[in-house]
Amino acid sequence: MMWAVWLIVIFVVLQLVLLVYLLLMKSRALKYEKALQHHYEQVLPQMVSYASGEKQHLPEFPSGHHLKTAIIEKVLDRLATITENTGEQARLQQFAEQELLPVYKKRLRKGNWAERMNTLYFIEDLQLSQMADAVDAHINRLRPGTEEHRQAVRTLATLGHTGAVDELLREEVSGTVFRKEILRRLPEEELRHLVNRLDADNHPELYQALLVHVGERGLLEFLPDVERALSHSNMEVRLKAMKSIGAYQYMNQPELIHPFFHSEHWEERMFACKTAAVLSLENRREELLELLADREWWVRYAAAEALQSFSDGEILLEYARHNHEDRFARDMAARTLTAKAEGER
Amino acid sequence: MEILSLLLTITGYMIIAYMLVVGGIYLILFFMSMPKIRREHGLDRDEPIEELTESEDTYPVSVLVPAYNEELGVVSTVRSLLALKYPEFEIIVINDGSKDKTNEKMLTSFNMEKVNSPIRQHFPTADVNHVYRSRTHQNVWLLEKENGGKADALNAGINFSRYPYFAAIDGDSILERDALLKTMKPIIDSNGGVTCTGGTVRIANGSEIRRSVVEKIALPKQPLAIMQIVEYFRAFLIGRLGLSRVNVLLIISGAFGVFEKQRVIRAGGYETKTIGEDMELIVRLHKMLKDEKSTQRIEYIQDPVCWTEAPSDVKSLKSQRIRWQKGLAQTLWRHKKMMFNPKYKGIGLFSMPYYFFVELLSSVFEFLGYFIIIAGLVFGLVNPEVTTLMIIVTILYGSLLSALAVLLEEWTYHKYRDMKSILVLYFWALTESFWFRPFMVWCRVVGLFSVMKKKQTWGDMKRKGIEEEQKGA
Repeated sequence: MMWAVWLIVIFVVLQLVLLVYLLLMKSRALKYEKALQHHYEQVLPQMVSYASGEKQHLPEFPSGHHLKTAIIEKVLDRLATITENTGEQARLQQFAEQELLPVYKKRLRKGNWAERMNTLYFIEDLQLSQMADAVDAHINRLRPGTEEHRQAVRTLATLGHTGAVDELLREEVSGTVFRKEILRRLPEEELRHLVNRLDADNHPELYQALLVHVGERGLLEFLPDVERALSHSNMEVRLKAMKSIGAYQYMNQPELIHPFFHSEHWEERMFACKTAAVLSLENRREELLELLADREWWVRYAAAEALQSFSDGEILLEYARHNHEDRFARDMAARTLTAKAEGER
Repeated sequence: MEILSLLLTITGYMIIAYMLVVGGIYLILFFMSMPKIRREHGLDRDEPIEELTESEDTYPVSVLVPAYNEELGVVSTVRSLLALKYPEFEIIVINDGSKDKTNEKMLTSFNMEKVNSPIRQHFPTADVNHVYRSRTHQNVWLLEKENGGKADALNAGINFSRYPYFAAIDGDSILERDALLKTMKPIIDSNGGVTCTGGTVRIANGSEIRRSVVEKIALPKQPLAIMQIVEYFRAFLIGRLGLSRVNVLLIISGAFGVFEKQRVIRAGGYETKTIGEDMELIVRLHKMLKDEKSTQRIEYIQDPVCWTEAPSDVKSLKSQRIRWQKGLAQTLWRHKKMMFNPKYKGIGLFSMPYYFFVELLSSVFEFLGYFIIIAGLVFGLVNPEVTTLMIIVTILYGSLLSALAVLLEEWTYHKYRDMKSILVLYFWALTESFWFRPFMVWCRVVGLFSVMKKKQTWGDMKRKGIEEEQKGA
């Protein structure tokens, strides 16, 4: 029966070790959180005075390296959300770079995964542009497509580093949402840089995302590129260009939309209707009334919506409801008018 | 007598072997979960979802709340949903012919009016008699329908919903404010590569809940509820996380899960003839994905996203567990062709057998085990070595794993703010094998025998309403 005794002893020791470890860990964590909160509350008002120039000296931080960094991060994170004055922001930025740069460089090289990720988040939030080269170097150590790689590219894009464009052009970088996240972060000059380097045929998805993005951001500098894309051989590109124009709510040459009312592809006819609505192309009534009888439901729907958006839309739809020669067009006009009256969800 | 003794001894050895294998599987699952949890220890949980709050690429979601006699919980559930941090969503409460004041509570609390809104018929359901919309919150809807069961109510909600993804949530649950963002993140990041996600469900008993938000996490006083907290840690942080890491997870909790609507519509919606409609749907989705050779995945995130009220009395707990066991048995039986079928890879070769031999049948083996221990101790019918070994294995099997689950919880979210809670959790985790586990075994054995009963019900848990917990349970 000795084996049973041994088994029980091993089991009890295991459980005890686990319990002691748990208690020690909890006690340390609670102490640390208490100290962090205590120092944070003390340091925050002093840092506000420092940022405003009211005080020239920095507050005193505790000596523990890890705790000090955590307090600085917490304080700066808080101040970043409430500081609007440019001068104050500059002082905080300088302080952040002075205190955090050496720590962050070390963490990117030697920290564990969670530490590296948190560091990348902070570099991005605090816009530590002096860390850009270090992040760029860090990216080269990462496998494309991993969570850390994606965050590193996001951070680099926020810092406006060309390396982000290089990463975006890599084949392994995929996912529409991710591409758009990077595009949203890139400054205009880097977007121009990207447009110049981008081959629409080699990177069709990125090109399409870029077209939509510049429209969403209302960057008029890129409008000629978008209008040029309307004559691209790939239908998806033409559609995205129309979507972009819809977001711009403006275009230099509205006549470029006209051929799409007669396109053989229903998607293009539908987008032409949507664009007509956004740009208030009221001189395209005839085409829209014609498309009210389109064989595709979505085109008829978009045509009716476009007509409805015009100043005399209700009169036009009322007319179509009773007099259009096509039964489906009459139905769609009636449906649009009724839906509006009932406040359809 | 000797033959009986020999027979019991042999059975004892078989059960010991079985228990060791099961314990081994749990340990393997623990070691599969641990690296992920260790890796993310200390990670800022808010940063990854910050951008989604404002991004226009965050898909809109319809949140479905099936409710049957939920007059105590439904209003706080909807309020917690209204506080969700998410760019665009609608809340659809489906009152499945409640006999209490669920309808009245909804109508008055959210100032609702009757509207004429068309409902698409992706699946047939019991009649929807009225549709109401809140005047104060335009994204809150109430469907008043004839009783048809939870699955039928969910199907009616899918029919009515208008967004490409839907979240199914129990009428008595409370979501964390960032729950939708966290569960939708894998779907958005994968560009639709993930078809369904679920997160960790936690027990709210004992916690302070004000204005439908869990403000202070604390332990309840009833040992029964504490044991369920430990049990949930084990089930989610060891079981589900481990299984999901190899994409063979068969359950996304009915308390909260997010689904790609089109995929569910193509799968035929929720099965109304089974009790465990949440598990049955996931198994069917896995089957569909494998049949189509799709690369889409079903994912579980370990973040605690949903709080629910656990039964705090023996009768309700027993009834809940019998229902779960029946649901599990029905699902496994319905999809028996997937069992050991190499076509379904990990699902057919590991998950299905795991759920059958470990989750379903363990109660029978354990029941026999307890019988042998008693036979050994009281009547001396069994070899004392076997009896001793059996006791040790039983304790090891339950208590150590539960204690490890407490450890994982501390590594992940350490939500309890004092040392006492850890000690209390740990103490009760150690006692599990002596009272809670035998009780669970009994419930599950009863559940197995009641599989034959065909009638599907919502279950009859006696609810206190978790908002009451602010007084301290």
